[in-house]
Amino acid sequence: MRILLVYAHPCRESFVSGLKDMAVETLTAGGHEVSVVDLYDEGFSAVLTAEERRAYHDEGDNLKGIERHVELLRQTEALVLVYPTWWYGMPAILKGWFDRVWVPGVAFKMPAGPNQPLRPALSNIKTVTVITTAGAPNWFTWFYMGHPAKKVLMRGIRMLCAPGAKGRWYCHYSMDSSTPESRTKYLEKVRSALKSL
Amino acid sequence: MRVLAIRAHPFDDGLNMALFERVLTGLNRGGHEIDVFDLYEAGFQPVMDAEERRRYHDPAVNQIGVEAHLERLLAADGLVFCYPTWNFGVPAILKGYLDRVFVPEVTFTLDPKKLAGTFGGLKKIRRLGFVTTYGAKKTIVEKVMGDPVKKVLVRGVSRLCAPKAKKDWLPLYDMNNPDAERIDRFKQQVENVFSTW
Repeated sequence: MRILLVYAHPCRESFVSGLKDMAVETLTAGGHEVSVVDLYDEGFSAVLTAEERRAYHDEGDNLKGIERHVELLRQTEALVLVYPTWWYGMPAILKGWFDRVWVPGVAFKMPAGPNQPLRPALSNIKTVTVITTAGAPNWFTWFYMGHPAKKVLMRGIRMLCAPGAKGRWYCHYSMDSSTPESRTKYLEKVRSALKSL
Repeated sequence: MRVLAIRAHPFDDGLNMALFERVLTGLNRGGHEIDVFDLYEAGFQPVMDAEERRRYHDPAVNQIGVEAHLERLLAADGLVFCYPTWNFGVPAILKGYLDRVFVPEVTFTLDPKKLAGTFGGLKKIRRLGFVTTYGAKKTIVEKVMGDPVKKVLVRGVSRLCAPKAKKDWLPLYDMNNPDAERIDRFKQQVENVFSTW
């Protein structure tokens, strides 16, 4: 399977960086063709500019500067996101990747007429997998916060752009009180899940 | 009152600017001292880098590089965010403001013994205002999506950093089907709300 893995963490020594290495290794060993987009490493510009915003709804013009990312997105059969959860969501650099790359004509089509829904445009994507870590505990994230990060990616972006895609969500909660054992356990759980992607 | 008014939109005209001007007009009626921070105009850099991430949890050094932003935040009695909702979240430039400026032990303190006992660090802030636009209809945002961006800002960030502040949440929905009269009413509502601050 063709897999696009998008990774967003600034530190090479981080646990999340280790998760990314494990994911690339496991998926490659599984015979998949893996393309890695390391947003920090390539210095991805997170900010949608005025010029980009003006061209946002012009399908074609809105691809300027993001051609490679769009090509990767259109070719992939599986999307894997690896990032730390900051303030209940993606780091700004990854949010910027969605703001700038998931544009009309690429991720979805604008409504055909008034009060019509947006239409999905990434039916090539069969699975969306999220591998992340969060400081907050699981129960707090669900019961108090209503898990906004998962809703944005799995309910919002996945349903809008690739509604047939299967969603898989892996998160090590309570990172602030994590132990080497809890981290290893999580890493192994994700590794075995990726073997059957 | 001293109010920090933060804006996040690439256009220096258009609806977001019009709404922001109504915020300022309303605030001016109350004779408040206004500190305007237009993230795009200031060229705010939203991506937390490796060094910042490494010192994030250490209050002795986690303010390095964002001192001026923290000074403005800590001096404020009121805080306003005016932004468009993109991909079910705040624009990356605003997400990065939260990632980089809202550092622990300054804007909030976590008590590991009791989650409910987090301490708001922005003690001066009495009023919080959020002015935003959504492409989607209210029913989709609330019933289908569970309004993740509102949960992040109001339940997450506000509760953690300024738990006692009175909050004004002002959303304009369904901008994929704009209606001039509805927009005008909303602009007036925004001005009215901030004139009560």
